[in-house]
Amino acid sequence: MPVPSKIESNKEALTKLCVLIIITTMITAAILAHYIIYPMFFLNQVNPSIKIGVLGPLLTPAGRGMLEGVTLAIETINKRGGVLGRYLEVVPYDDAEAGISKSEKGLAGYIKLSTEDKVSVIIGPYSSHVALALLDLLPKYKTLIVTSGAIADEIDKKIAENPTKYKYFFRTHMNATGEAIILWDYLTDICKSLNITKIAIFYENLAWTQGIIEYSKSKAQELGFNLVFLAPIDPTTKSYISELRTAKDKGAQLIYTLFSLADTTVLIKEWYEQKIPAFITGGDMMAEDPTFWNTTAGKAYSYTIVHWGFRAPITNKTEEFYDDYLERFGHTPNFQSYLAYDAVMIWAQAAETTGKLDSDNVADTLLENIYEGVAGRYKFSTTSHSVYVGKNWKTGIYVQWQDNGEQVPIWPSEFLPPGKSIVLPPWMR
Amino acid sequence: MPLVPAISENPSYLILLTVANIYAVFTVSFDILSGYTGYVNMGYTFLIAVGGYSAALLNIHCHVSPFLDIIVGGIVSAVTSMLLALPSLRLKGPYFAILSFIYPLIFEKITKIFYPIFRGEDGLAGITSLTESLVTNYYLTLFFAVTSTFLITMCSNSYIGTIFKAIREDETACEASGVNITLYKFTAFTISAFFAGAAGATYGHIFTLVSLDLVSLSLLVTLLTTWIVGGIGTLIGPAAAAYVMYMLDEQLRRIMPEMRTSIFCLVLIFLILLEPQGVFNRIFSDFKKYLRQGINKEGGHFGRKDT
Amino acid sequence: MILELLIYGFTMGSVYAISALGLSLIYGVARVPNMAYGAFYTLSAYIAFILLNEFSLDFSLCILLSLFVTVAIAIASEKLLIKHILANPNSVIIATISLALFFEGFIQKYQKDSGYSYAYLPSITESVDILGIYISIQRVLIIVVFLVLAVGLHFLMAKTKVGMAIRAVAQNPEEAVAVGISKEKILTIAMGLSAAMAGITGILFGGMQAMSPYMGWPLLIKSLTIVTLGGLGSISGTIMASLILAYTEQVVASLSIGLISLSQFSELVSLILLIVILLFKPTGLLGKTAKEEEIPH
Repeated sequence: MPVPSKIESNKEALTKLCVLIIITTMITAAILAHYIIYPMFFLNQVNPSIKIGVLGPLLTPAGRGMLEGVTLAIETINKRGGVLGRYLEVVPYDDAEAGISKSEKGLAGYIKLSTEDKVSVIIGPYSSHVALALLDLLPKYKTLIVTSGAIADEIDKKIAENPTKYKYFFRTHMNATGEAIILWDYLTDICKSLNITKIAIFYENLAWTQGIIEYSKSKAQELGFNLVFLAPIDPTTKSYISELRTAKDKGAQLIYTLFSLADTTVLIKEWYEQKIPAFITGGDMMAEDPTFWNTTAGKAYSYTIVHWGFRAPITNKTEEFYDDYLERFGHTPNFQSYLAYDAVMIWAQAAETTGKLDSDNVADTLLENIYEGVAGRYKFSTTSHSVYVGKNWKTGIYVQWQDNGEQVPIWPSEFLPPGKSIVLPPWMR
Repeated sequence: MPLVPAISENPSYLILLTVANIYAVFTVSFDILSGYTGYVNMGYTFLIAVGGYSAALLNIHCHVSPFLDIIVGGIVSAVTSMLLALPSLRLKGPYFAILSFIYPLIFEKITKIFYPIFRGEDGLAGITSLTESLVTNYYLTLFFAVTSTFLITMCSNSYIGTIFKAIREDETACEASGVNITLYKFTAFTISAFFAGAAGATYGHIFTLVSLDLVSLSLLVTLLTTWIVGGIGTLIGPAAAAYVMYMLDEQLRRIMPEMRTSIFCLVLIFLILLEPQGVFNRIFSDFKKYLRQGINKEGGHFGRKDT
Repeated sequence: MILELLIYGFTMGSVYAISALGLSLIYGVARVPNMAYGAFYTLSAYIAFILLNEFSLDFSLCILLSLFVTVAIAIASEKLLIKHILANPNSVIIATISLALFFEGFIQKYQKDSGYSYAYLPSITESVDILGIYISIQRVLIIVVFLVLAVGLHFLMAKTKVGMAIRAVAQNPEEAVAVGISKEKILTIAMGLSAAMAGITGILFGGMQAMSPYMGWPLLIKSLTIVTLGGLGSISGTIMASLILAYTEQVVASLSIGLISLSQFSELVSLILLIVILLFKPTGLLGKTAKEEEIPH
């Protein structure tokens, strides 16, 4: 069908104008990129302060915890004169897009922090997959990593296979198997006192849970527990009704959760609504937060979560740290706060001990000594760099939501406050 | 610019150009299918990802050399493209577009469900780099881009290319004249998929990892925009546009990461409204019109005419 | 256990049905699906959220305003964009996908800047005991809304002038124009109604789960699957297809192999179902094709 010519010529003129604008914009952008923006990265800056990089999903709760923990550590160290006579400065880099850490960004971040910012140590990355992607860059760029997250066992295995190549990787958190060991110590005690034998595990299908699940399968059998149901869950899941129902049908008496990204307020609300006859407990990033009680409208009653750092006398530094943190930031620390704080402190202590800042010396020193942190005592294995786990080293504290949103530590038993005990959901009494 | 990276040894810039070479292959092989035959493959990113992931798995678990697994990636993708080609036998117009759109979504779900193998959102890391030198990588990918464009252009200028265009213009008539349409459609898919898969695999070797970004909607939008800006059915147009659009994309990623896709979408919508045939196409056709004085080329929409 | 499956399947089926009915309205009239439909669903939820949290308005007001704004955006999209490219279905598909992503960018930016790690709309979480099954009142609300909308839509389509005009344009556009119906006006009305349905789904369902900027895509796919399965132009076909999809997903989600749950596979159901239907009978299995249908049902 022929188009009337007047409209056609207007359209043509408009089109030609648009073409011109688009071409000009594209060329300008390309030129800008080449001549102005990239050369900016080569300006040499001589700066006497020591730079500490923070690499993680800075806008998520975990990332914020990391950054704040590092900031507090730096401020504390600077107050007493810095490290080797120089002050510390934080250089953050966000490796996340839309709340999830991306390997490509992590790689770019590591390279930038190493080459352009010339940091002495990087605290992070938080995510295991980013850490795995970074490992092969370590021998090339030689920037020390002391991360507070990235617990996948794979990392430790790789280090153990080639400790010289990966010597610059350290982690203040225990690895996945470490978490699993603590988990099963806890379950053994709890199931005994609650008379439970049938267990279901709901877990995010991600890198950090793989090792825990493998360990759990064999450990459950060894301890005589009946693992009745394993539910791998997509972190973006919006409803857990099917999994809850199946767990109930299979007779689960306890549901253990392993979540860091997923929305567990829905899980708890649905568990409560359905009055599922199973005690619910686990590792849950969302549920650690004090606001969880409100967002679940109190339905988190009896939900018991592991805290890798808590206001309790874990070491003689813990409670002071908690109070300082609350005063400095106006909210309570999460587990990343504790672990990132310890990461900086441990690095600083190693640097002071060896008198040098270069990665090789600090790495060697880190392997030699024991550190008293706020989340426990640290010793790194010389083969895999994993932290020691257990009573005198690092452990987790299981904290239960009780009346009025009170968070009560119930395990290990030495942390249970006098007059308090474990509670059960209202329909299970 | 593309031929003289030695001017700037900046590693970020080199990587940028290297990836731009790969994008050029993406767009050219997209064009030979969607631009020439008119079957707009909305699931194209699925073919890229299939190639990228199969090469990654071979490389990580079986330590296959990069050059070999790039070829294998291309082949796997070509074979998988049969899954997309089959429905094209029956489906017309929007149904084919909708159906092909679903494949990347399925791919994404599968990588998440079978996390231990495919690593879902995290992607597969630890792929060996193409070569140890960034500069060599650049020249290799440049060679790849030039060769692919050359081969595909040769194909388009041949009898095969003519049939492809005939399929776009009027499939029924083409079939009626005795041509085995199915064979040619499958050929178009295979060629497009082979280069897509090989390019996807190469991408993995440059970044040392593959992730769901390869199958993302924002990649689809970037490719579609580049395709239209470059000129549908011109092959060279999209290839050249790939460089500029990719650099623009990366700049936007640094400056305003969340709005980056929205900006491309706006440009895409704008182009579809005003000039669906492609910006450079318009210039070329105007120029040709001027030369031929009076023989009017029909503008109009992309896609197949008999729908 | 079966009873639970039935009840939950029905609640999910209701959500899907409201959504699919909305999509089928615009798909029928425009002859091409609006791939930005999921974006309208997401937009309405976020707009309600923003109104509620940034402006502290009463929630009912937020719902009304949000629906209004969503419908306005939809109609604007129709007039500025969709109307002009209807002649080429491929263009519409690409353009509406772009439109959806365009909106998504803004929502992403808001989610990032707002500081809320998780965004929710208020919902009624108290549960009610029905035959031994505990079901939240929100889900009951969804079923009620669905029934009301289904009846309302049927009435609209069968008895009112507007409804009959919409059906006329969907079934036989040339004749409709010949009879004097303005295709453009009907397109606008259909778009508005469709966006309203998407909006209602967004607000009802957005209250049951954490919102995310990408939450529209699975719903779009499911609605597409249902519409393709149930056939355009048939309300009962669409409803039946919605229930089939919902129940199939529920059944798959409750399966397990040995210890391990297969619930992750339930999201694949709609995708695979859509492929299978498109491959074998793109005009739908349950409903009638546009040309065949005469009587409303």
